[in-house]
Amino acid sequence: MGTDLHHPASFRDPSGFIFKRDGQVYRQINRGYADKWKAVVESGFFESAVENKWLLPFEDVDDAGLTQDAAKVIKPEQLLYVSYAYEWCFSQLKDAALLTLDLAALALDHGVTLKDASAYNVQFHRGRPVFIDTLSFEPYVPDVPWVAYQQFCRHFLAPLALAALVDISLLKLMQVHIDGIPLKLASRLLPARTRFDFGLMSHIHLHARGTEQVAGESHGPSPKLPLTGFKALLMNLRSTIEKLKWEPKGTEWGDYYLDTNYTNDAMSAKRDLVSAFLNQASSGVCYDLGANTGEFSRLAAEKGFEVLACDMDPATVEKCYRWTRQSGETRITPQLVDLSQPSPAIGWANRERESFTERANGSVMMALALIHHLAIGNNVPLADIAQFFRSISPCAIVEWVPREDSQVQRLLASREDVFPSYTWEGFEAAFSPFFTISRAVQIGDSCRTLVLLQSK
Amino acid sequence: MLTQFVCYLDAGTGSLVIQTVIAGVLTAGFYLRTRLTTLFKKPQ
Repeated sequence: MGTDLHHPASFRDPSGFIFKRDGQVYRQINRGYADKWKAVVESGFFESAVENKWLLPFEDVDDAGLTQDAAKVIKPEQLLYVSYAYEWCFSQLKDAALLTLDLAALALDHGVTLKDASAYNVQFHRGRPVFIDTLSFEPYVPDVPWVAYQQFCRHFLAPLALAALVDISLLKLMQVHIDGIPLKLASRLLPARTRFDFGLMSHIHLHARGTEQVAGESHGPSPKLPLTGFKALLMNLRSTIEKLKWEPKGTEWGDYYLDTNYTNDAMSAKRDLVSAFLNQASSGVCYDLGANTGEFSRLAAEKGFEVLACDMDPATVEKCYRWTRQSGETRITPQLVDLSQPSPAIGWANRERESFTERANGSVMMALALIHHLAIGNNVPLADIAQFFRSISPCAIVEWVPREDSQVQRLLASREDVFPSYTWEGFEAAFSPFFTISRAVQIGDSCRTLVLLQSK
Repeated sequence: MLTQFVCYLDAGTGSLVIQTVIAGVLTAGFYLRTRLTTLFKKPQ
């Protein structure tokens, strides 16, 4: 039993929890929820939801569970990696919101209700959003309002509206407000014209005022929500979210590939080298750090890697995600991460949502045209970069961008050069405690070097 | 009593009330639109 671990994020719902055993994730269903679980299973909802690829498939397993309260244990299909709502681009959050509403509507059709509409119940798995919390459903009770309504508005509608109508960077508010953006705050930040939009007026502004005024009053007649009203509410939320749009333009990195110092020959040589180096890495998850729109993530995906394409720019991540959806690429998941301050561990006891590095499970990572931005753009010592890369994966493909490169000169143009150790020798010395340099090949028609590093 | 709606998460008293109001307006609007469409439907 030494390897059994109750997942630190799975403690709120008394219906059950997830736990890890020998590296595999299981979900325990507690006795108190067993009858509801049985009713939901018998409704046929799970079959429909899994068939639509909206719900993570699971199977019953013969397991005693982790506590004496266990009525049943199921094993969900294992996720390849975990990302959180504050690491998603606009369209990822929007797709997750629409998935949640579609699931809630499908549930009603089967006499079931969605009781938990948290954005953390959605993960990106094999190229699409999928709902992971099988215990978030229970039999529908006629006329009972949607208990997850406010949660849905805080986790999805408020951040999407703020991103679309105020500023895309406000998506990061989700990192500060782990249970979704308070509606009162969203109402204050949204422009006045949103009061003339029925959806935003009612689900954000009126909702915020109503929550404020009625808070704490628990007496009085019970509000009733007939099934037709429940469905109308879901439909209106869906049309309100569908109308919210954001176009990826005007950011620093959105057109990066139009502004590089690479010749066509050099780019081609780089592709060949990256391809050859990837052949020497173990299969599994590839972290493409500073992926931009995913040019090289596609190369890794073609070679069979499951790719987490990380970038700090909302526009490039958005473009990458749109491309994966349009092309049907299922091996690439874009993720919005600023590597100079990767997502920290947050939530109760700093354990509910793991940090970026705690979740890292790469078999290989790529840092192409990135190291100068970290070392010179962010003053991070090369040794610290090496240590960080080692925490991501045991194998790394790094593009060394020397001081004489025009992009480095551009970074140095407006600042004092306080980077005497930013040299090839300095690179070797900084990385040698963590990695062995397996190969180092100069990229043809360029002054840069592609380096294959294997952990020591 | 609102306690019958109590979930392990706080649904928010105001949220429960406000959604019934919004749903009521939406349902009434849908009903009205359907009636008007029927009334002004051109005879075939």
